Amino acid sequence: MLVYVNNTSVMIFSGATAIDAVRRYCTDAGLSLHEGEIYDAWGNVIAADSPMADGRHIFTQSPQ
Amino acid sequence: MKIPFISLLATLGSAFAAQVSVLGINDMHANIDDLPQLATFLKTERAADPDVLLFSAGDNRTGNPYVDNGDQPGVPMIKLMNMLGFDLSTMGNHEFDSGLIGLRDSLDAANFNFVCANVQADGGAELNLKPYHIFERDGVRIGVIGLVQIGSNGLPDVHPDNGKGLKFSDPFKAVRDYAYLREKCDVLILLTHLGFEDDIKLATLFPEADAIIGGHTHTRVDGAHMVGGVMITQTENKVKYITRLTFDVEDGKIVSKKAELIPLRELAKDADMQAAVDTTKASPYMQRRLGSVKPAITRRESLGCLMADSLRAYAKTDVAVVNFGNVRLEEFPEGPFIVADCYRLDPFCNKTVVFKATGKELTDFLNAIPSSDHHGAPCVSGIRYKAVKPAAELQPMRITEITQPDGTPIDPDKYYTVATNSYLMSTVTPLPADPGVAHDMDGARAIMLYMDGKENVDYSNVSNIDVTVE
Repeated sequence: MLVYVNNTSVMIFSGATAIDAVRRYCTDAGLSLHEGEIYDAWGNVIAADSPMADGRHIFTQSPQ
Repeated sequence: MKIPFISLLATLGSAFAAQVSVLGINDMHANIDDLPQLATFLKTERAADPDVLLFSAGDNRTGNPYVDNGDQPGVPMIKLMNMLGFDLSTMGNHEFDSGLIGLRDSLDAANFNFVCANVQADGGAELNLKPYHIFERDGVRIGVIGLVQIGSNGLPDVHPDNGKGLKFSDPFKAVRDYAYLREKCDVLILLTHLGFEDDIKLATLFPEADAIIGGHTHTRVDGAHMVGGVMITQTENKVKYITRLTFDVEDGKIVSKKAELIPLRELAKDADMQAAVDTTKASPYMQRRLGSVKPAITRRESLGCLMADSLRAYAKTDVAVVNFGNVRLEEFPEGPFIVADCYRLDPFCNKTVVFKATGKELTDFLNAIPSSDHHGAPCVSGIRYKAVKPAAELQPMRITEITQPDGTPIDPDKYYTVATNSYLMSTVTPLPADPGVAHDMDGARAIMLYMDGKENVDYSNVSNIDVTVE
């Protein structure tokens, strides 16, 4: 499925969680793995195991 | 229910005023270790307001082997929720993890009601489940409608086999069937397991609601997120927080409402609830003998092969791959193999991911693993490989030969099915073109299935890999 981390599209397996998507984003971008909070598009903190759905946007810094 | 003093003075002899408090929590995921703090909080709340209501927005279970894998999966959590005095729960997708029979066991064990308007038993079977429930507190009627998420396949996020015998419908349409409750209730709450983003959509489509107590996305909503006049709340997951929603009602109308997110983890532990949790964890389940090992397994790599064989046996794939860092025991003594050993060997609870890869993609995938998992070369099942690896840490290995167990070379253009864990599927680059599908099966449970009934299992010298350090 296709999700978005920091507005960058990320292809990840179906059933992935937020941390899976963030790890994939970091790996693809050549960044060290993010260990801080993860946010949704409204700036709410979401748990690392938040289930992802196709098209969902998440962020490694609050977008608000 | 509280009668606010100022409101009381202002309205004596004319309008009726009251305050209704509702506590909402979601996605507890069987995190029973933090229920004693929740119990302490509830005692304080009930001392101040004995009528306060306590709701769960689903996914009460799944996340703890003591709750999920016993004789009646999920029921231990329900019994603890009974002790905590829950008034209501909706269904989360994980309430279906043990199929119709497991669901029925949980519903029947509950001293509280479950509500969900978009699921029912198929074929006329009876389930102890209603679409909504109405509470009455000193003349104020509080209606609560339950909803659970469904995916593009028409099922909640659950193994399709576990959805058998149940009929699900679109939650956004199903809720409209109960819009008439607006006229019957002073406070109307949607208790949902849809996820925060879909709760926002729901608030737009169902503005009749006063509040949505949500779950599923493990979102920490600080207070309430307002969409029009609808308050949306969610408390992340695993009993970290609870939300107190307060509604001031006068003459059947809400005149003010608010929500407050309250942290739980720092509270003292309630002794009675701690004793109940300890009893749950004293279950003989973790000590259950699955089989035995003979002789002792003295190499971590051999244990990795056992884990890879477990994954492959569960997923019925051509190949399975386990990263060396996933293997958490150095050796295993000769003797019995019990359930707890599965969790010692693989404590991570990573999901199993199944994907399709050409022989070339598989080789590239294996070559990429040591650069992301610097513990060592990946353990495999269904193939053998030889590789050379630079002595320096974090340098990728290079596979020089990869074959099937009988020595037949892997065809670089042929497709193979591969099982691995979600950690590798989110960190290895390049990935095969097929990003794969996660199964609700973690490594420990796969080992459990594999070892169950196997006696004198010999992995003493098993290795499918031959890595030369340059």
